[in-house]
Amino acid sequence: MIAAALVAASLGCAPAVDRLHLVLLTEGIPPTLDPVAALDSRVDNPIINLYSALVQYEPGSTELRPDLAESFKVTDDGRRYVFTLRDAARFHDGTPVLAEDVKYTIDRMLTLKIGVWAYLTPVSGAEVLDPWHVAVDLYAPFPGFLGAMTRLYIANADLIRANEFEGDLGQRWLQTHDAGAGPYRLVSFQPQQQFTVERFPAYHGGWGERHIDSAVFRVIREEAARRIALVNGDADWIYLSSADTLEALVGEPGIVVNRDPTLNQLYIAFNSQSRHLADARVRRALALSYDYEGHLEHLMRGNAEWPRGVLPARAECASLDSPRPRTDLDEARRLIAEAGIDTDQVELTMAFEGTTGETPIFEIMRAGAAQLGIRVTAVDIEWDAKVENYSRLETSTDIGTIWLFAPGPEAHHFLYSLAHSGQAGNGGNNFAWYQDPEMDALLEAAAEELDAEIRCALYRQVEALWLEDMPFAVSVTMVGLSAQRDDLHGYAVSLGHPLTQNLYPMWREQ
Amino acid sequence: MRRYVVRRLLLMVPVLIGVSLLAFFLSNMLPGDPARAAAGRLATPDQLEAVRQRLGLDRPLPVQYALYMGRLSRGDLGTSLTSKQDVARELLIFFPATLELLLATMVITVGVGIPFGVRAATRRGGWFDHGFLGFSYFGVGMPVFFLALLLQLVFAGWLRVLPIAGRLGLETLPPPGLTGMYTVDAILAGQWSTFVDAVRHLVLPATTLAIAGVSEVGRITRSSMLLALSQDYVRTARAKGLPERSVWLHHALPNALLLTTTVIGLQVAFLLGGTVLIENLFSWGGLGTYAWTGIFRLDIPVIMGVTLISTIAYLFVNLGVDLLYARLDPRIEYE
Amino acid sequence: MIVGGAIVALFLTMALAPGLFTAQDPAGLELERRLAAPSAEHWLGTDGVGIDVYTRVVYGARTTLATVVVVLVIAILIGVSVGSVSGYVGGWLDGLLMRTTDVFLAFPPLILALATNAVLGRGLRQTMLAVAFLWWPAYARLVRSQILSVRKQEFVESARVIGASRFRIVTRHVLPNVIDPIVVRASLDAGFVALTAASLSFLGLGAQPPTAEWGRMVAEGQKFLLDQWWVASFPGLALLVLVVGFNLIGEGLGDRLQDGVGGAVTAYGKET
Repeated sequence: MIAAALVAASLGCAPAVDRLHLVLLTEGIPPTLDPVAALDSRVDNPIINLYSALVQYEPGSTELRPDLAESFKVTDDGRRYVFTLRDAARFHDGTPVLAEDVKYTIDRMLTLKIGVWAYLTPVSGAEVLDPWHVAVDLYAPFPGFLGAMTRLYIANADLIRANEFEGDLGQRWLQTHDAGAGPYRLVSFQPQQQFTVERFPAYHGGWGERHIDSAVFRVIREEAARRIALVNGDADWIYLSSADTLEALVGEPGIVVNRDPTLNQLYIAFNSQSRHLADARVRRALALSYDYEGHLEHLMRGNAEWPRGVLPARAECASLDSPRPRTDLDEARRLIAEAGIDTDQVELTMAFEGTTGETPIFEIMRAGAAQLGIRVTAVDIEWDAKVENYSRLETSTDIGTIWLFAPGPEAHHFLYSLAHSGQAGNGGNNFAWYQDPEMDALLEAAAEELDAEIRCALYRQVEALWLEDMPFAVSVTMVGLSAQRDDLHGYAVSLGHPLTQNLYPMWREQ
Repeated sequence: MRRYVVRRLLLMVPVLIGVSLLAFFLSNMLPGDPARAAAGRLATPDQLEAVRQRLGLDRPLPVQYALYMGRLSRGDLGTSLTSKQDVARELLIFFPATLELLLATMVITVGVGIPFGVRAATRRGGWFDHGFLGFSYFGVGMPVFFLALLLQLVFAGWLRVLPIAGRLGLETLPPPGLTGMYTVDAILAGQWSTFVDAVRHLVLPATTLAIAGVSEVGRITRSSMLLALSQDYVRTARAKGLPERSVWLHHALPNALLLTTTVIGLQVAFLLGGTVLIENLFSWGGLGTYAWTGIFRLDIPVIMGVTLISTIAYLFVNLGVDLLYARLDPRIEYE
Repeated sequence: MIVGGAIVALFLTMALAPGLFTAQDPAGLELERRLAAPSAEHWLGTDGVGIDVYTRVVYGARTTLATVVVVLVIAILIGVSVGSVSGYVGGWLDGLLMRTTDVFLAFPPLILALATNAVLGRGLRQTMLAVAFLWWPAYARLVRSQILSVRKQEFVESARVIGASRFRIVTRHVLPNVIDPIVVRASLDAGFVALTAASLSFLGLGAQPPTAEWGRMVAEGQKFLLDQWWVASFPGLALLVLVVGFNLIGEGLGDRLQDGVGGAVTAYGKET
C-alpha cells in the first residue's frame, strides 16, 4: 500500500531535473574535511572527490593506476619509492602540485600521527629531489605501501601554512575548507546539513563527454525520508543502512539498488587480559556461540558476505580452504566445562556503537553467550570514545565490536593492526589486548615479505594460531547498500574506498 | 515600570551565577582528563599541553571557575570535541532554524489554544467542551517523539500530503540569508514559492511540538474564562445588555489571558526540550539536532553550550512574560 | 480518576507479574522471525531482532514504573529534608537553599536532565539520578511553604511551649501535615517523570539493551516506521496510556484534596 502510494506520488510530481547536477543523500556528514582523517569512510567520501593521491585505484576495482604521480621507481631493498609527478596537476587555487606539497603532506601526517598514519606507519619520511620528484622512505619493506598510499591525499602546503592556528597544522581550517587537487572543488559546507561540490575545470584527469557538473551531498538521517525522496525523484542516490529498506525498494520502478562488495570486516574482540577471558577456551566458546548465519541471512537478509578464516573473502591471501565462521553451541558448552568456568560468576561487558546500528550485533552476542549461561551487559558507545576506552587496559571492556575498513586488499591491513601486540592500547585496534610473541613474529615477517606466495603462507600460520587463541571472532563482511535512480550511471565503489561516492566516473543518461 | 524592569534584571543575576556554577560543576564531573576532553581525542601531546595552559586546568578549582566565567562573559563556550569549531559560533548557525520552528509552534499554540479554550468555556458541557477536554488529556500525555513519528507515518507515509523531513524541498534553494529563518527570508526576498515550501515543511514539526501547548493553553484559558465569567464585572456588563459575544471578548477574555500568558511562558521550557527530541527526526538542522549529535558523541562542550543558551533564553522569555503580565494586569504595582 | 486508577493498576500488575500476561522471554531473540506482522502468535508483531513486541511492552512497564517510583522517592526525600530545614531553620540558610532551588528551576527541565545524564553516562540508574536531580527542588519548595503555614498554627506552638525538640516538632507535628500535598504533587508528577525518563532513553541515554524500555523501543522502531509500523507504535502507545492514567489520578486527587490543602498544590487547568 505504501509502495503504491509512493509510485503514484512519483508519477504525479516528477520535478524537472538539472541533468548535470546530482543530489546524494547520506546518513551523516563528515566530522571534518581534513584529508589526513580519511581513515574514516565518512571523511574519505568528500575527500576522494576533492583531493587526489599519488596513486589511486581504478574506480570499482583494486587495480592501481597513476594519479598525481605519473610513474614511480622502487629501490631493490624495497625501502625507497621515488615518485615522478605530473606536469599538469593543479590545486584548486591554480598552483601546481609539487614535490614540496607531497613532502609537506607526509610530514604533517607524521607529526600529527592520526588518521591515515595508521596505514602508513612504516613510512619514515620524504625527501624533495627536485620540484617534480619526491622520495618516500620506509623503515622496512612494506608490500602494502602503494595500496595504503591511495589514502594519502596530497594537500596544498602553502595554502595550509597560511591558515594555521596555534600550530595546529591547519587542522581547524581544513575542517571546513578544501586544499586539494581532486576533480571537484568545494563550493559550500554547512555543518550537519550539506556540502556542495562543483567540477574543477583544470583537473589533471581531464573532462570527457559524460560527467556531472556539480553535486550536493545532503544529510537526511532518517532512512524513511531518504527513501521517499528517492522514490519521488528528488534525489539521485541514497545511502541505505538497513537491508530491510533495500529489500523494500527492490522492484520499485525507476530505482536500482546497489549491493557493493567491500573489504569492511566486522570483528568481535575478546579481551584476552580480562579476568574471565584469559583462557582461550572461553574465547573460542564465545566465538562458537555467535549466530553468524542469523546475522547474515536474517538480520542482513543475505546482504553481507561470509569471511574466510580470519579475512574477508576478497582480501589478498584469503583462501577457499579456510573455514567459515561457525556456530556450535555443544562444542562451546564443552569448552566452557573444560575451562572449569562457573558461568554464574561471569558477567561480561560489551562495547558497541548503537548509533550506527550495532545494537542487533550486541543482541546476537548477548543471546549467544546466554546460551552458555554467561551474562553480557551493554556499553553503548561512540567510536571515538571506544578507542579512548581501549587505549587503557583498565577502561577496556571484555568484548567489543570493531569494523576494519582497510585501504586495500592486503592481509596486513587486517591482521597486523588487530593482532600485533604493538597495536594494543594507545588508540590501536588490538582491542583484544592480545600479546603473543609467535603471532608478532609471524605478522612482522609477513609485513615485510615482498614475495606474495611466502607472505600468504605466513598468513596461513597466522590464521591457525588465531583460530586456536581466538582474540577476535570473525563475523560478517559488509556489503555496501545504496539505491539510485536508474538514469544514473557509473556509480562504482572501489574496494579500497568503501562507502564512498566517487563522482568523477558518474553520468546521467536515460 | 523602569524600576520594576531593573529590579527583575537584578534578581536574575544570582540565578545566572547559579546556572553557570551548576554548568561548571557538571562539566567538571566528567571522568578522565578535562584537557583531553577539551582538546579533542585526536590532539597531540603538545596541543594537549597548550589547552591545559589556556584553560588553566592546572590551577585550583575556584581559579578555574573564575577563568571559566571570564570565557563565558566573552561568549566563549569552548570548542566542540568532534567538529573542533567554536561552540558559540556553531550555536549561532543553528539557532535561526530552531527559532523559526519555535515561533511557528507558538503561533499554533496561541492561535489554536486560546480560541479552543474560549469556545470550550462559552459552551461549557457541550460536545466541543467534552471533545476538547478529552483531546487535551492525550495532548498533555503524548510523548513528542512518538507523536512526531505518528504524524510522519500518517501525513508523509500514508497520505503523502506533507514532506516527511527537512526545511525545504531538495529542489528548492535556501533564500538569501538575512535572518536564517527561511520563511522570513523568503518573504523578504519576495520568493513566494520558497515561502510556501518552507511553510509546508514547518507544518509537521511545529504541529508535533504544539499539541501539548494547545492542550495546556486551551485548558487554562477555559478555566480562567469560566472564572472570569462568574465575576461581578461580567454580570454588570451583561446586565447593561451588551451582546454575549462582546462580554466574552472584551470583558472576560482580557482577564482570563493573564494566567494564559504565564502558561505560555512555561511552554517555552517544554519546547526547548522538545526540539532536542524531534528536530533530528525531521532533519531540521537546528539547535535540537546539534544537541542530539552532541549527546550521541558525548560532546560535553556542545551539550553544555546548548544547556546554557536554552536556559538563558528561557530566563529572558520568562522575564518578558512577567513584564507583559505586569502590563496586562493593572493590579500589579511596579514599586 | 477511576479510569486512571484502572490504567495504572493494569500497568502495575504488568510490572509486578509480567508472567501473567505473557509466557515469552522479553530478551529472547529469534532472528528468523524478525519483523513479523501482528498475528495470533505475536499479538503486536515482532521487532528488528525477532523479539515479541507485546512481551517487551509488558516488561517495559516494569522499567518505567520502577523509574517513576525511584525518582519520586529520591526527589521527595531530598525535597522534604531541604524543605523542612529551610522552612524551619529559616535565616540565611533558608535564603541559600531557596536560591539554589531557583537555579534548578531556571533550567528547561528536559535540558537539565539531559545534560546531567550525559555527564553521568548512559544507563537506567544514571537516568534515575538525573531525573531525581531535576525534580527535588519542586518538593523542597512545596514542603517549605507548607511548613511556614503550619508552624504558626496552634498545635505546633503548644508543642514548642512544652519544650519538644525542633527535630521532634518537625517529624511529629509538621511533616504529617504536608503529606497530603506531597502525595497530590507526586501523582501529578508521575506522568512527567515517565515522559522525561522515556525521552532520555529515546535519546539513547537511559535504559540499555536488552532492558525493555518504551522510549528506547520507539527509537529502535523508528527505522522500520514505513513498512513495520508496529515496532515503534505499540511501545509509544503504552507510554501515552500510562501517562494519561497518571494524569487522571493526579487531577482526581488534586480535586479531592483541594478543600483541605488550599491552593498550594493545585496546578492550573482545574475546573473552577
